[in-house]
Amino acid sequence: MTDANLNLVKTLIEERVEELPNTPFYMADIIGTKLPTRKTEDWKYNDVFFLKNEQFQLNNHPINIEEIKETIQDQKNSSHDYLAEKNLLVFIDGNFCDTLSQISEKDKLAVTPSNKLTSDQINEIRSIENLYGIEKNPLVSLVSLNYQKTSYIKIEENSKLENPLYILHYATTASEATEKSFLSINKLILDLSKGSESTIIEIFISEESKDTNHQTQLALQATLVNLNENANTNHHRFNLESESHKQISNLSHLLNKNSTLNSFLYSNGSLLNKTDVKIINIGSGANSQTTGIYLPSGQQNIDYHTCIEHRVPHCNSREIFRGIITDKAKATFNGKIHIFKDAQKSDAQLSNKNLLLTNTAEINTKPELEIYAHDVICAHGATVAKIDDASIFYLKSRGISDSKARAMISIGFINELLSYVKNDSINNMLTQLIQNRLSLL
Amino acid sequence: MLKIENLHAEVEGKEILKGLNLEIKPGEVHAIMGPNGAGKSTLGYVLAGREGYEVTEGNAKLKDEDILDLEADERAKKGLFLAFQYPVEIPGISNMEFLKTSVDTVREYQGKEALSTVEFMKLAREKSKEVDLDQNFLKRGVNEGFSGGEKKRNEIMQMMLLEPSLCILDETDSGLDIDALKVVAEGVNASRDPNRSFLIITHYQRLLDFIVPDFVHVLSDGKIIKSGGKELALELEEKGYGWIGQE
Repeated sequence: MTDANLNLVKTLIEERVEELPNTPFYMADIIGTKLPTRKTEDWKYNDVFFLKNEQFQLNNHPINIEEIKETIQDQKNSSHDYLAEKNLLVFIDGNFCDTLSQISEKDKLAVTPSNKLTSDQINEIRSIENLYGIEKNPLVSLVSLNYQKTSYIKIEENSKLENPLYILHYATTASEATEKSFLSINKLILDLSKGSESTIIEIFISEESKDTNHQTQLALQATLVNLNENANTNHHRFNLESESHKQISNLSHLLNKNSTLNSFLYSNGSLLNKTDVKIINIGSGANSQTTGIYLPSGQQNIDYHTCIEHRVPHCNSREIFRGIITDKAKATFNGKIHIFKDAQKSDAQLSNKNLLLTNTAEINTKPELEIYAHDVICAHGATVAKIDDASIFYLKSRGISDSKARAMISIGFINELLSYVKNDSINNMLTQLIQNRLSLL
Repeated sequence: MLKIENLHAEVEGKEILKGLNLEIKPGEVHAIMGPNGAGKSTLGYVLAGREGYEVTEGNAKLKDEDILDLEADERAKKGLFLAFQYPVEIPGISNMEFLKTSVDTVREYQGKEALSTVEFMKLAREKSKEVDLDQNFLKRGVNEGFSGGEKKRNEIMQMMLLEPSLCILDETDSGLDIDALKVVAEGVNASRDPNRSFLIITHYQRLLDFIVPDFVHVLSDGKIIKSGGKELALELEEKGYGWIGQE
């Protein structure tokens, strides 16, 4: 790590240094925040050279709200009007933007941006984090250190959100060439109270880089979703950033008794997009469906490390990830199911399928089972394939062009997963995103 | 309609067709019979434009136009249709979506009026009824989980929807029970037209009881070695293929 970066880490820590003794959460990493290298198992397929060799500073680009509004409305792959959403939170470079945000269901949804957190709320956040455990990703622990960048969103007890909550993460780029690389930090706590029902979608977009030097725009982001007893949520996360962007993030779900999670992840954005997904069953009767689609192209590198922990008995988890990789792009899927000793009667299934469209595309897939209980049902599997020539010929023999045939077969490969997006408007948006993406391949 | 002259083709370096000649006029139905390995299916694939089937000599013309340099989809748009011996399963794409895309593309190329979604669905339901295929098959993935007979009926339905000029049926009778065979044959017979020709590739004479050909050819070792009327098929059924070579 360069001296400048070390200073940055120190600054991040010092901002809340007086709180450290009270939080076991992440402590292990705070002491020796070591950056990953190619020899670090969880990072071995990611090029993290830039972390060592570039100088980072916290993102402080001047913000022009009108220009940002235009960019949001002018997304090339989607005609969805985010700004017209009834429940909308906008974060620009990790910071809450009050001007663009609006909440219509104020009686059900309480939002506290980072600068307004009360000490009670910080205590509440800490107690949630204590349930979670030790964070192993050193970059994410940097995020978690920093309550200055933490926003707390709570859905009230037994409330049913009528409209989805849109959370738009917007990343700017420097307006002029610079030697420096920029870092933005954001952390969200989504506290879903007992018996609440909600649909939440996080969307990540970024400006195209105006700089030909391509200095790194790195976003460190963490979202922790706490599903209390009987809470039911559809949580979606779409990564649609430009290819000058990099993101390292963590998405964690804590599932209390009888809670239900339907999680959907989609990524075609960023040059490097590494997302650690954790689903932690801490209450019996919890149910989760986790679905993911990744479509890297060009030089992109998309990495999902997922871990589903069954800490208590009688929980079900289902996980399906599919990816289509083209050009010289690379994807990594590491899916782990961890059944604790006491978690009898767990039912966990994991599947990952990949389609490689070119000889230079790369996929690294590894499903893992770690089981310490004896009375459980677990299944896992992974496949890698290329498009079948016979299928292409069949479609072509019916007048369909080669490129259209390939696009149809690619869409067919992931089509059935789209049914897990239950909200019509979000489903339409995703279908359009995928169709646009695959017709470009 | 179709004129093939001295056609030589190889697969993976092995010569399969060794100088094949054939002419089919508009409205005619020709049957090609022959023993295993004679090159019957290869002929179908070469005409339809499958990759890996390389023409080394000769030519083939559809309606006086050379087709051997065209991509498979171009040939289909010009009116060539191959009913597959083993139709391919493509999960994830609905049969309806596949058929609509195919019919839209071909009709647009041929300058025919575009069908609206409603018109197309009505037409697809009619045709699926004609080949005795339940309408639910339209919603399922392309050939996904279809039985052998259902796949073949799906092929004939596609043929009816695409209204091709030249239909090549590659062993459409294989794997069919007698009822399914009748349904398929009725579909073909209903499509017979003075401007449409058929090339029926088959092992057995059985199919030709239902679809009566104008000409029967025997393909052996990459060449047509004997041609005749429909009675040739009966003779083959009785005596096998061995006697022809000895004549």
